[in-house]
Amino acid sequence: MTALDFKSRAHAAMNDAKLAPALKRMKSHFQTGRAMAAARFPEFEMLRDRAAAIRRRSIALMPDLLERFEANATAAGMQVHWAADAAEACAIAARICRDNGVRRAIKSKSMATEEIHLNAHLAREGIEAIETDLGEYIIQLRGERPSHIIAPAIHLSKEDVAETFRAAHGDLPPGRDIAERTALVKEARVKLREAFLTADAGITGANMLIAETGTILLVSNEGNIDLTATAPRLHIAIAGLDKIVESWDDAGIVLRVLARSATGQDMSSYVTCLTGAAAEGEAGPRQSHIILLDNGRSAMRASNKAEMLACIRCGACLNHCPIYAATGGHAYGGTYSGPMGAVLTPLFDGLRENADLPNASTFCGRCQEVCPVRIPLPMLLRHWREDAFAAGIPPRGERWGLGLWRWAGRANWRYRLATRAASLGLRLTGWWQRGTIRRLPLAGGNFTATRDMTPPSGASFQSRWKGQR
Amino acid sequence: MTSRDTILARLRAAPHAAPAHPAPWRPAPVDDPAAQFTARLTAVFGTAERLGSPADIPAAAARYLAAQNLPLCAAIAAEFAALDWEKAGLTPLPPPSKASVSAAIARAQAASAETGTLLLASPDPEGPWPNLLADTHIAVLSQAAICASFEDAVTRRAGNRLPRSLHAVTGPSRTGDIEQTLELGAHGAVRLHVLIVP
Repeated sequence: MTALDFKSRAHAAMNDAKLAPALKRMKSHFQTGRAMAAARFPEFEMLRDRAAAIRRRSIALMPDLLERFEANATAAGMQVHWAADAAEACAIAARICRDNGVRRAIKSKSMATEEIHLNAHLAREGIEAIETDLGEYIIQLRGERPSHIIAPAIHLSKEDVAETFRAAHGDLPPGRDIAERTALVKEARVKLREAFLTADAGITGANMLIAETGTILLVSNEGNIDLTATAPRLHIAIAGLDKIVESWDDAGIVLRVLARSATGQDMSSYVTCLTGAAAEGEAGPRQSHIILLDNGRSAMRASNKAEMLACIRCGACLNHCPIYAATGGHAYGGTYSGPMGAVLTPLFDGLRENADLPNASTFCGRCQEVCPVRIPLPMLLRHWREDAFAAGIPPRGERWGLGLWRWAGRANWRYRLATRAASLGLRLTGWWQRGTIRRLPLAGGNFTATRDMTPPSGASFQSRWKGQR
Repeated sequence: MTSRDTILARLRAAPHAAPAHPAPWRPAPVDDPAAQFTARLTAVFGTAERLGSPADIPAAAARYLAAQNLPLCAAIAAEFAALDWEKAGLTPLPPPSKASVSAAIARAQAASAETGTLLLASPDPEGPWPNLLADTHIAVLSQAAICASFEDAVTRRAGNRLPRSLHAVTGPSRTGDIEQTLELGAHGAVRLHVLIVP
């Protein structure tokens, strides 16, 4: 990938006539849903504060809490594994499958497994992994990546889905009517039910790891996680280190802000809590594993972006972001998209390769406003911009320009002189181009490429500010 | 060094100040938890009915299935097998373990009034798996098992040992994955009806 990739992908997305209506729908549904859920729950803001504190406490106490989780999960009969990076996590999962003769695994939606490209790794080992979340299933059939953290197929229309199902479900009568959503959902239900009942293993992610009892907590709306984690004889969960929380009371508070922020629900339809392995008299896997995944998280915790580990993956920042609403998720080029993706992708896939992402923001601040755990996303993106500048990543012209601006800004007279010169230049250009500026030189060309600029008029902000005081 | 040691050492090498532990939160108590449970469940497309006695379960279940235009048969959990299903005109199906069934009737061990949530434990090896593999899930819930919150319901159900799985279910299964439009019955139950018994 080149540094220009976000820009070119964003341009392509904005010219995609099919994407615009999907993103518009996304915006209105998710934004209205969250606003209504918040309005009917007076304690929402107070619980956001508590959830923010809970998540920051989890980051601070992470090593102790993870050890506590490990001890309690082990005591309950779960096998706990630690993976330093994506390769190790994939290798552990594949080994567990091999040791237990697993040929076919069903999966619930897990961003951690997307992040480590688990499905591709398992396929190379001859193990078939079938996604069961409807959105993930659709994009798996199409060979695409998720374009939204909680609605992976948000970029597709029902016609796209019908076409995909016709191509994939060759055993069904070609003349069947799957024009409507209800028929598509039903077809996936029947197809996947077969997979649920015959798979050797179930692979899930985790929304939270509760240290006090060694419990894995997951949320879904479809009910696929409950089946994935209970129907097969073996369960493997893969969870980032950041998923840890101290207690059930903490988990309860996070759940209340998570569902409201994500889909505008008071409670997710299904909350699945898994502790240990199935005992006598319980149906469920007799063998259960959890892989605790670092993959850059410990480094992030030691950096000035540690607060990003508080993220509970609700998607509210995507749903309220003007950039995401214009480009959709694929433009971001990583597993995660939107403001949280712009912070996370440089960490997972390299800053140099994703140098545009910290700039994929207007810094309007809505993401921070709606973040249930109050992560200062614009500030974290600013930190990435600083890192990029320090590493010499931006093009020479940009760095030179920023250096010049800094030099001017360091002395009052220089700044005043520079702004006066710029203002005079713009007025002259406006006069020359008959009242409005149609074309600017250098970086200004980007601005005038798509619109005209009105020349400055009246007194400058600085002189008026002076007059006010 | 194992990865475990490496990871823990890296985490310990970067100490962070921990904010104070926020207080737990519980919703304010309500006068009639069963009424609140029903209202919240109805808001998410589930339904509930209060019965005068457990003996009314077969007739109520049959009435519900008939009203939905569904066949009058269901897999019945062993606990309720002795009730008079024949008199209600409902044909009991053998409880299937790990198999799909059109309708299943079983107990939900606890519930939360706050969000209209049922709490079920690890599936019964003898079946049925009402919340997992039935198209229509009819849950029997004791009024006394309706707690104020999710946390209280977990405490009530779990006791000293957490079951391998706890399933909190709020309304029927749903998805918005195609065009952001709500469709019921993605993988879990298509319909959820709760019979609240004294």
